Amino acid sequence: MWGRERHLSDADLVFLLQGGAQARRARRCRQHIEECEDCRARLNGMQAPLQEFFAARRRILDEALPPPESARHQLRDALARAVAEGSDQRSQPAWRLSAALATVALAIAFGTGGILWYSGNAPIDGPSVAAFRAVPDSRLTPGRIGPASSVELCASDRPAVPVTVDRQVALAVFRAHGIETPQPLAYELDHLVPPELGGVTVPENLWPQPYEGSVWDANAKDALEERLVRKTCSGEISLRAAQADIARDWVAAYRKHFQAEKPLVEHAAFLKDQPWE
Amino acid sequence: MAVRHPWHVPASSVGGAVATLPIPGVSGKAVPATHRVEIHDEVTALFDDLREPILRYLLSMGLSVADGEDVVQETFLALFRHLHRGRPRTNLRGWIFRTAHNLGLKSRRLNGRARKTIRTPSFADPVADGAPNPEQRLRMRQRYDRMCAVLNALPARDRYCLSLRAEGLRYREIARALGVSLGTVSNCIRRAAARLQSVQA
Repeated sequence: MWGRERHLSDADLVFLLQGGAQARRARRCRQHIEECEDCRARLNGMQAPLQEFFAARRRILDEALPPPESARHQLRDALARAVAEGSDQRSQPAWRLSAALATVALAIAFGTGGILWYSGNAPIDGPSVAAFRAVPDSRLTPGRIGPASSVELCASDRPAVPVTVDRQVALAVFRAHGIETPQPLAYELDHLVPPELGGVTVPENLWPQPYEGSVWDANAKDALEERLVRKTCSGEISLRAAQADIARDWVAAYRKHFQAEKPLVEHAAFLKDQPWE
Repeated sequence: MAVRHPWHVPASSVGGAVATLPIPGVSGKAVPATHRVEIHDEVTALFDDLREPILRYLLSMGLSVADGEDVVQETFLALFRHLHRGRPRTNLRGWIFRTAHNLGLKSRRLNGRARKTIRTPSFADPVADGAPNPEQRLRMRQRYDRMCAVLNALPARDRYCLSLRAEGLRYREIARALGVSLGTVSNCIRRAAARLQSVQA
């Protein structure tokens, strides 16, 4: 079906640019890309100008951004007032009633358009608040490593063994992290220390990492993992240092190894592992 | 039923959306103080993560830096009310960008002075530390201006999609932010990519 004789559509290439979701489709497309020079060239032709535009846009717009301190203080003051007002309201039921009536009056005054617009914000299924943490709870996921050495892990003839997690184990990990009904394709059931760095597949080394909800998502961590594997196998850092960095605080490790405060734009589409289905 | 795109929403409904955002405490449920503090901390953490991407997006919509900062503040106060009310936290990044987008459109309309095309700061703006030298900046700026020129010929929705993608939003988040389907986002990105390819050719 995906042989050389049938090329990928532009829509397929656009989805490949994103990475992450659309797992089965993306897997098939990636397999085709590896085998088809024409489609690889088309993908690169689409990707390169986008990357150039994103990088130039970021650099030029960043020059116009003021430092965040003043805005942060302003927001904190406003939030502190909101928090204080919240505590006042509990002892002022009459005020609450007035506010409720005012809200209804405003909604009527603005007509159904306003109400419809807001109802457009209705929730969709996705990662729950429990999964919102960028770094896993170290009590649940401290990380576990096996006995493999860097020589073994970096051997060029090392077979790529797909890591599978028993469904019951996976669901137990989700539950431990407060997620009763995980949405398929919304998470990676991620190894805190990846197998490529000697991590083992046990619940203490697994956690549900969402693709959305924070800039520090599964894509950024996948990019970090690949960077650490490359640094370890080139001898730039020791395996033990890489394991310790990623297990202690992978966000701090990302900042350290990419010399960047926030995930790089190109990592938003990075995908190494498959989403949990 | 026709899809309601934010930029087709009548002016009154944009204002209405803001006005109908819940007021803390109106739900009648007593919200524990510790919960409010947790929400406060969560909102400030999200602000630290997302202020820059949102501000860049608003600048690219044509807002000035000052108006953009105001919209960011309004957006995160709306987020506080949203969470305080116990509304869903799923796809929060999409929700935040959607709110910023709508408030940005409102601000642009009220101020009326902003350009409705991709806007870049003045070339005479101060140079940040670590920026390229003037010659490199000039070349990059000229090339960026050419790219913006071809993109400005696209529908606004295509540019919004591209700008949100440039900020690292996934297609599902972009769809949520702009109130469109995934297929629409894909088509917008494809058209924008084709335009940018024409600059490279």
